[in-house]
Amino acid sequence: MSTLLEVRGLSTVYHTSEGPVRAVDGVDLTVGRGEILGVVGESGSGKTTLVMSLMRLVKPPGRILKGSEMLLDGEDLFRLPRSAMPARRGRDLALIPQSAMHALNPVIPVDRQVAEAITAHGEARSKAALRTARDRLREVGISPERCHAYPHELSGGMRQRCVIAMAVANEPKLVIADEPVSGLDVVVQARILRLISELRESRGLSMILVSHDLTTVAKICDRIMVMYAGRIVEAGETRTVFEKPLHPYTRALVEAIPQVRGPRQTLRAIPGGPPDLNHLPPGCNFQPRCPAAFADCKVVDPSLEEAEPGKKVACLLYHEDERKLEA
Amino acid sequence: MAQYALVLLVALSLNFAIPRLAPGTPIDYLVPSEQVATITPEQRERVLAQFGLEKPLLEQYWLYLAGIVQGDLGYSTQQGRPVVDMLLERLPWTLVLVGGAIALSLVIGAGAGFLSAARRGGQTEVGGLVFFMFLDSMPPFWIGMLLLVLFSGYLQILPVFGALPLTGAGGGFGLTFEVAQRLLLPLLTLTLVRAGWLFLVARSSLAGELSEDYIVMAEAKGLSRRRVVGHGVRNALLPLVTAVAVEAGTVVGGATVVETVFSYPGLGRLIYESVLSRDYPVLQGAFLLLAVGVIAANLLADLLYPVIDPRVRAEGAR
Repeated sequence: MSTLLEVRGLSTVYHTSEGPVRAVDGVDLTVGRGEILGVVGESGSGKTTLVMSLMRLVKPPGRILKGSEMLLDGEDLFRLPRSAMPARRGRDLALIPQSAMHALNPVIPVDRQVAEAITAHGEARSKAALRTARDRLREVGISPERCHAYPHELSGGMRQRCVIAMAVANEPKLVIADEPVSGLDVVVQARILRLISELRESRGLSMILVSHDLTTVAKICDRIMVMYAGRIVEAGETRTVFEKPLHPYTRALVEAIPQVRGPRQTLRAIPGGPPDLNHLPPGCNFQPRCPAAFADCKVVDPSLEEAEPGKKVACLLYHEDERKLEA
Repeated sequence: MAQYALVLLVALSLNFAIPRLAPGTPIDYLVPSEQVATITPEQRERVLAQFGLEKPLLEQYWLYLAGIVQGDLGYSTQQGRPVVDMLLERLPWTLVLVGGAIALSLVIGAGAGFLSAARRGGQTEVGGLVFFMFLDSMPPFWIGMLLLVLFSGYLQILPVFGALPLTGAGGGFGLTFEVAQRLLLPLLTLTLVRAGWLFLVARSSLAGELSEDYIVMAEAKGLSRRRVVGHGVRNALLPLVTAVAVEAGTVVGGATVVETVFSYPGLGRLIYESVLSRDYPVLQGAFLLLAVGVIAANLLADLLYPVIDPRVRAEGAR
């Protein structure tokens, strides 16, 4: 599988009254053609900032730091002038935003909103764009007679479908979905996830799917990255992350998934809350909440390194092993 | 619609009731004050009968409503002319002034407000905000007097007074020019005063819309900045329509002050003159006209909402 997107050292800083805060801190990631990469983390872990950074839609006081690279088909989008970005958005990179419920303009019929995405990228005749838009809407399961509806006349699931149709309208190279199923009931969630898988099959969609819900991500992603306090703490194939989580945080996340089958258990939660980015703990960011922490964790800030083939983790537990092997 | 009819009836009734609830008797203002103590009961009866004030209240009310339907608002106590004629004579001047001011202030105020919201945080934006907030806080008579002093007193390029030239009115183009010249300052005053308010409404409305999620989506699908802002403007129009409807009422009040400062022969000036001379029938007629104007403006706004916002349309259909 050839590489479509390669992000290196992406850092995004928010300037606050208490000083700069790194919401995304040195993130590396790659997405192959036709691959779906999942990014998981609790709220406040920097997921949405990561998404907005990749779209280059970070608003002041936020700023993408110099030295961050985002190579899409070998071209660094962060080096393009700001004015060149509108032409890229929607065509190279498309967004399915968080709270897609509100992502539609309430006063414009949905087919015209999809058509607008098409005319913005070259299709000059609005009639033809409208026809294409209706085809796209049908593809995501909106019946032709509902195409001319206003957003408030559609259900949450249908609005989400419209947003997806809008995102894929121009056959983008990469789709970035930020919590595409949050706020929908489980049945609709399952349908939307199936729709995304179908689109991936039929169009060879490449995608980054961001969610706080590990199970959502696990259903359709090839690889998973776990984010904590703006950093990637573990990355690997979906199966290995699930079956053999390495980082204590990932392990806690997997254990926190309620089991329907098997003996009754009390739900396990992770003690504490996400760290205050203004006052990060010394050493490892997860160390204060970590059941496996030891003395070095308060001193050494672990970097993301390969622990086993195809599996990276940022935890001293595994870096220690490496050191022992070296000795 | 039924609501508006009801509001209109209430306005008519209040208009009928207020002068009758006021302290004193009609004689106090119908008869010159130095003669009130000396008139005979017969004279008193005759004066009351002349204005139909000797009849029972309910009959007076009925005659009042019937009169309105027939376009009869009574007679001025000072000039003896039909009130309707006096109002109609003044109405065009006020319509030109107020209508022009609303249109101009909408274009200038809302235009600048939208621009300011689209460029939030920039330097020009802060300057604009300060300027329009300053305008919004200025009393109309003060702006009017400043303009008067500047253009008519100091620069002496515009006439000070009235709406028509006092001498040699002539006709055709010359007259139009003279009238336009005299309209300019009161129009400018009213426009400036109202533009400040509309600027603030438009700015805050669009700024709110631009932080909505659908704006992020509009950006993410690759629209140019102009079209992204366009998405917001479409949604920011609703509060503006409301503001203009409210304004249509208050601008007439503002016109009283401005018309007085510039001795402009509109309705506002008529109200001012009638207050001074205690000409109740004329005041009553003028207030009635203002009430109808405000109600009509609100009706128009209500009819416009569904055109602008499909969600209102849905509620109306329910």
